[in-house]
Amino acid sequence: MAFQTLNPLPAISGLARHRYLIAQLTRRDVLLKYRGSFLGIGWSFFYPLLLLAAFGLVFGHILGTRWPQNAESGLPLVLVMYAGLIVYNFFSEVASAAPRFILGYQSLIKKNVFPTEVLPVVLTMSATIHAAINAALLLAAVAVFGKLHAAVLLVPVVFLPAWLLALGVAWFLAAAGIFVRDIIQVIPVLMQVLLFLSPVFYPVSAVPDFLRWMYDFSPLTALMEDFRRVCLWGQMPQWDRWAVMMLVGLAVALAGLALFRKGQEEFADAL
Amino acid sequence: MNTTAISVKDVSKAYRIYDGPLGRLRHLFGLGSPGTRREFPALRGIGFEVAKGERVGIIGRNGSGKSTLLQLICGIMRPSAGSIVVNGRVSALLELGSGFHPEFTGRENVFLQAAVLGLAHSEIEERLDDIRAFADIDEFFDRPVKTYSSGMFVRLAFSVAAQVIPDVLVVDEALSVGDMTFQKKCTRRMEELCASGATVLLVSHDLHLIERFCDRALVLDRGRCLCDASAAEATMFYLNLVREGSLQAPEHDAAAGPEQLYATGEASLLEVRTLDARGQPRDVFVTGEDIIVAARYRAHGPLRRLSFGCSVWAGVDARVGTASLRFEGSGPCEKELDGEFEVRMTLAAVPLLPGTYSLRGGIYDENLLHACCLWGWTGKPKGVFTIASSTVNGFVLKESLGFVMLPSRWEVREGGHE
Repeated sequence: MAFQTLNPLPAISGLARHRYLIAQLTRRDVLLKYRGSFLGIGWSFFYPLLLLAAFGLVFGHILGTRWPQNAESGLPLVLVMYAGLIVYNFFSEVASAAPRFILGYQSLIKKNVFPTEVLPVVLTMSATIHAAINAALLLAAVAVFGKLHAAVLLVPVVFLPAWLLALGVAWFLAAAGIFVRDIIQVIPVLMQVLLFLSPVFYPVSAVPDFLRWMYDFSPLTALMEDFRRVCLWGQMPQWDRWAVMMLVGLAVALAGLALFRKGQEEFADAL
Repeated sequence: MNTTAISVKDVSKAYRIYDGPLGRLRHLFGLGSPGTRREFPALRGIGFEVAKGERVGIIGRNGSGKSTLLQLICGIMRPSAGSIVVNGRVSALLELGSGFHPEFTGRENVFLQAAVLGLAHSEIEERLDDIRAFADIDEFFDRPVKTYSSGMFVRLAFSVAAQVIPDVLVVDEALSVGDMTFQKKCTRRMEELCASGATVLLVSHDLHLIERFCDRALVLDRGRCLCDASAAEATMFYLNLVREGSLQAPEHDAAAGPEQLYATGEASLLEVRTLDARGQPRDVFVTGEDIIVAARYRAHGPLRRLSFGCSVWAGVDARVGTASLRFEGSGPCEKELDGEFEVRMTLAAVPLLPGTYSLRGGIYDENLLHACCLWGWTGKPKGVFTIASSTVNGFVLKESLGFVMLPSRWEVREGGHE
């Protein structure tokens, strides 16, 4: 029994079988966010633009942040920050929404024969679509202000570990949020902290040595760096770190799925 | 070939009530101390088997464990003990439209609900026209569901659900909503599914439906299965329990609302006429006259201890009023009736205002749980009569005044309020 719950293969093939359902639910989740608003999906990049304008002002002009790696590309500093923000937003959107995501689908779960484990996938897919829209906008800006490199083609590859990591976190938090509702309150605060502890608005090189270990361990650091390398600077990803991140991502995803499936038995009772 | 569709073996389900949210987590990982939780038993030692193609009803009052049992069979929850094996694809109609989102159009919701029910994109596209026709909501199909009336909502939801062809169909009271035409559509659809070999598990308070539709029924009470027999025997068993007072009967409308569509057919209506005070057939009256409703029936076997009801309707959906033998305080009819008989009801000094009215009525058992015969509820209106325009003390009564002239006393007091 224990092995059955932990063996991920049936669960993964089940997810593949439900891909149409996942697509439908994702579509709904993406549309729902903006339904009824005037700008519609435009908010998906309008919001980060506003944020960037503010942060660009504060960090670029008031605090005078310098970004050595960006020196030769000639791209505006704001785009470098934007690239980091895309990765951060993707992750934060998934983590913040996950603990209450399942609560939003209660009626589906309690009144239908419904594969609950697809819901965190839906959340991750919907965040991926937002990230993709933003990445397209970023690349358009790069093409305008500088030069688009062939390395851009590696964006999906670079994103893959982040995607697996987010998925694993989504499975874990979605299950945990049902049992301990406090998590719903805690995660947004943690995400705020994560924003300032990630190299979004400053380069890792600006971090003092005694704090550097934190950035070496943070999964987001490697992702942001690699994302910038391929999108902005036309460099190859750091493959050794990518490989490690890939393993971490896979491990987190499988662990998240296993924990989710363990908790699933109690969902209908706990809701 | 396996001929068992559902096999339930010694199943119990206890809802655990924890003292704190962490209690559930601790228990999940085997760290809980038994003192931190209480258990509420919803089902105790239930066991039965359902053969393929069988239609099984489940009866019981609220809280008897019916819905829990269905949820376990659907795999929404897991039993605390025992095992449940279901062979084949299960489709659950536990709540219609549970996946609908009010902000989306009918069309969008159809695609999502169908995906939840396990249909592929091509299957839905193929059947979209059927769904649309079945739901019968015209241009509302492309409007947000939040603009729907509850009737349209349910119709659309059912028309999606009806597209799924399951091996096992589980229905929980889902069909007790909606109007008569819709309910008939639902029953017809279930019958079609059965004809194609599907197994049906049906929970309902509607004993007529259970008796008519199911081969077999279970009676649940306080989590135990008290009776597993033919539908007729099981409904009798349940009725006896109700009579003995050991169970609470579900509430029933005294003169049978449209929710009670299913009569046993122990008697049938031959003719219903309206007569004037002298017993002459007439269908035009004026306000304040006596009206006699004469209904002739044929009983298909001896009937005892009957109760009667009749209601007056304006159009198809305005119920003007109801008359019932029970209102009059007399007990059931003590005559033993067989063959043809006539029931005459006199409405004295009918205060109906001008307009055209129709009648619906029926014969019930003394507890009004069972209808032997119902008439006027579907199809062509019966007992149609007209109240013609007349004058009362020089005042001309018109249709626009409503249905009933309300008896009143008037007084005028001079000066301020006391």
